[in-house]
Amino acid sequence: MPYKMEISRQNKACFLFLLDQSYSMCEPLGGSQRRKCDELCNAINSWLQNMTIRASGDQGIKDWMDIGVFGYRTNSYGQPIIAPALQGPLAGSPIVSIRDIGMNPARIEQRIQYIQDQTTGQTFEIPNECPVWVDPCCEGGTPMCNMLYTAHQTLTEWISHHQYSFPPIVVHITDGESQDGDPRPYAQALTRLSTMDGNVLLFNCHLSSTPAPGFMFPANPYGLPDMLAQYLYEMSSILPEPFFNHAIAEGLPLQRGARGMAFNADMVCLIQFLNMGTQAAPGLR
Amino acid sequence: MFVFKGFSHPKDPQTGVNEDAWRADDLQNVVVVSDGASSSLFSSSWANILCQSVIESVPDPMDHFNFPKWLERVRQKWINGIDLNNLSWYQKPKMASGAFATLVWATIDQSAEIPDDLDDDVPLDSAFFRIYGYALGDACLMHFHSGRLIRSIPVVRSVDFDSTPPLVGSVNLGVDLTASFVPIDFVVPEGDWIILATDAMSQWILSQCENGSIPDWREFWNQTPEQYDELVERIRLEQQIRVDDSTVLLCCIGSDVFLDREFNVETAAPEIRQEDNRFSVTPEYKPEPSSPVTSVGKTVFLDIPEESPIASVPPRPIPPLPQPEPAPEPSSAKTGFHQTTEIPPLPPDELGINSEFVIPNPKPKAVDNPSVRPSQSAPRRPAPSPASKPAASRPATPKRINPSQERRIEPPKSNEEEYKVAQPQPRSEQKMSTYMAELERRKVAEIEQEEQRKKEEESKFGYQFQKGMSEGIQDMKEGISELLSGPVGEQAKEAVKKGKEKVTKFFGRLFKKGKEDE
Repeated sequence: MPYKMEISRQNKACFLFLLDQSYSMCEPLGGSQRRKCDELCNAINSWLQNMTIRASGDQGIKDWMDIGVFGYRTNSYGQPIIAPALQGPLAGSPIVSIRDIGMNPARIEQRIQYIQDQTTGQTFEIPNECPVWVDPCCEGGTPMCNMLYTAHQTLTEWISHHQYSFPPIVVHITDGESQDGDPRPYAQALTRLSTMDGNVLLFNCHLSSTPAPGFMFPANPYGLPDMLAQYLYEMSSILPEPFFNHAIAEGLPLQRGARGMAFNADMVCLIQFLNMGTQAAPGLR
Repeated sequence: MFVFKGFSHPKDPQTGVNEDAWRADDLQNVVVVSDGASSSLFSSSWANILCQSVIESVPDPMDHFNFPKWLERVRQKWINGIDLNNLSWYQKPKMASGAFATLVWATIDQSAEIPDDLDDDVPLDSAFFRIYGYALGDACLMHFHSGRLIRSIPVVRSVDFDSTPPLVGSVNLGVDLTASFVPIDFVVPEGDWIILATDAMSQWILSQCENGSIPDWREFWNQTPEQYDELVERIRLEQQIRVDDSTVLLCCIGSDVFLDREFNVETAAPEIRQEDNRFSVTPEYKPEPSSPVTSVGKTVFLDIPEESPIASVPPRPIPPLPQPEPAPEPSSAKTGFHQTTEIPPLPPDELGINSEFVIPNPKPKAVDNPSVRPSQSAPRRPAPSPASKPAASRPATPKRINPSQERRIEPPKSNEEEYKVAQPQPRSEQKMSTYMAELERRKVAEIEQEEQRKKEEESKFGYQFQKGMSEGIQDMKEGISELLSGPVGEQAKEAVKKGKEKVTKFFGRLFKKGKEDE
C-alpha cells in the first residue's frame, strides 16, 4: 500500500517548492492589494515557520524532513535562471533539512499581530517574531520546463539516499503558461520518480490576477476554463488516499480521482492548498 | 499480586528520544502508560511526570473537586522544569499550548467477586483481581485470557486509531477532559494478562489479534530488550506498525508466572530474596535514566507469609474468604421510622392495650430523620385489618378497647413524666404505625372533649351570674381607683383622713368614758 510510510528521522519526508518568479508575479493577487510574489513569499515563509515549530521538541528541532525552495525566471537575455530561493545562510542550498531551516533564517522580523478579545471587543497588539527565508522576486519569463527538469535532477539525487521514505511532494506555484515548451512531459518524468512507498507527487497551484472564482482539486478535466488549466490538470498527481481522506476530514467536497491542483487561487486558497498538499502525510498530522 | 515487565523502543533509535513513558508500582498496585505527542513541546517530560504523578497519587477524573487540583499540581511540576528564558523562536509559540499526552492507568486490586461471565476453564478456587482505572486517548489496556483477547479499552479495533485522540495538556486551555476519560473496571482471574501499550503497539497488537495471530505473551515476556528492539524494527520495515515510539507493559496477574517453567525466570526474576516479610524479585536489568530502551520493572513483591515453609517458590495465593453478606437495611428504611434500639415486645394487655388496634387507614407519624430518605424507604405496609390478618397471629381472646381502660392510660397534661411512664409500647415494630396513630387519635379526642365540657359549663346560669358579678366588681374597682387617683380622690382621701381622726377621737373618748364609768 503506497503513501503509508510514517515520516521519521530515519525515513525523512521531502518537500520541494517551485516558485514562479516571472515578471507577472508583480501584479496584485486577485482579491488582494499586494503583489503575488509578496503574498507567495509570505505563504512560504509562514509554512516554513509552522513546519519548524511543529518539528521542534524537547531536543531542539526533529530532523524529519528535507525542504527545497527553488525560484525560476529568465534574465534579460531570456536565459532561464533556476536557483534555490532560500536567502541568508542557506542561500544556494538546493535541499536543506528542517533543522537547518529552523536554525538559519535569513532574518527574524518583528511584526505586530492584532488580536481581538472576543468578549470585550478590545484589540491587542502582540509583537510576533516572524523568521524570513524567502524574499520576493519578479523578473523575466516563465521557464517552467527548465524548472521541472532541475526538480527531476534534484529529486533523483535525494531519492537515491531515501529509498524507503514517503515519496517527495513537489508544490509548483505559477501564475502563467510555460514559455519554454510543453511542461507535461517533464512533469510526467518527475512523477515517474518513486521511492518504495510510491511515486513523486506533483501539485500545481495557479495564482490569479483577477478575482475570478477559483477551484481546487478537480476530479475530471471537463469544464476547465482554458488550455493553461488543462495543462496544469494533466501535470498534477491524483491525490493519494491519505491526502484525499485528510481533505474530506477538513470538509472539502472532493470526488474520487481528485488531482492536486488549484486554479485562480487567492491567498486563502493558496494557504489551504499548501496545507492540504503537505500536511496529510503520515506523521505530520 | 502481579508481575510486570516493560519494553519501549523509540521512534528514532539514533537520537534515543522517546516520548513514551511507563511506570508500574507493586506497592500501590498501579500500572500506567503515557504517550507524549510528538508535535508538542517537552512532551517527553510531560508523559513522564504524568506517569509518576499517577503512581504517587492515583487520581479520580470523576472527582470534580480534587481532580483539577491534582492536574494543576502535575502541570506545575512540568512548567517548573523548563527554562523559559532560553527558548528559541520556534519553541516560544508552542509554550502557549504546552505539551500533550495520552494516558492509561489501572489499579490491580485483589477482589473477592467472581465475575458473571466466568469462563469454564477458570478454577473456582482461583484468586480474582479487580482491574480499574481510566484511559484517555489511544493508549490502550488490553485483557487476554487463555490466549484470547477479551477486551481492549478504549480503542477496540485496529482501524479505529485516530490521528487526533483526546489528550491531557500541560497547560490549562479550558478543555473539560471529564467526558474523554474512559473508565476501566473488570475482574480477572489469576494467570490472565493485562497489556498496556501506546498507540502504535496497541494498533499492532489489535491487528495481530484480528488476523488470528495473537502474540504469545509468555514468549513476549522472555524477550530481551534487544530482541524487542529487533522485533519493532522488523515490523516497522514490513509496515505492520507505525513508526512511532513503541511501548508495551506486560502484567501477569497472580504469581503463577514464577511457577511456570516455560518462563525464563532468569530474565524476569533472577533473584528472590526475603525483605520486609515479603519476597522480592529483583530483575537483573536495571534501566538507566538516559537509556532509550526502558525495560524490566524495578521490583516485584509477592505476598508470602513470613513463616512460609517454601522459601524459593512462592505459594499460590489463597483464594480470598467470602465476604459477609451486606448488613440488612435498618428497620427505619422499611418502616419509615427512625428506630435506634429494638423495642421489646410487651404483652398486649399489660397496659390495657391490645396491640392489634382496629383502625381504618392509619396515617404514620412523620419522621424527622434526614438520614432516611423517602426513596430509601420500602413501601409501607398496608394497614392491618382483621380480615387480612391470619387468625394464628392474633391473641386467642382479642379484646376490644375498653373506654375506661383507655381513659386510664391517657396522659395527664400536668405530669409529663407520668405520661412517659404510662404511654403504651407497641409489641413490635410492625405495630408501630398503628400505635402512633392511636396515640394521635386519643390526643385529638381528649382535646375535643375538653372543649365540649367548657362549652357546657359556660352555658349554665350560675356560670353566667358569676361571670357578670366578677366583671362588675372588676369594673367598680377600676372606677374607684380612677377616682382616687384624680383631684376628687385627694379631697376624698383628706375627708376620709379627717373622718378617721374624728372617729378615732370619738371612740377614744368613748373608750375613756367607759373606763371611768367602770
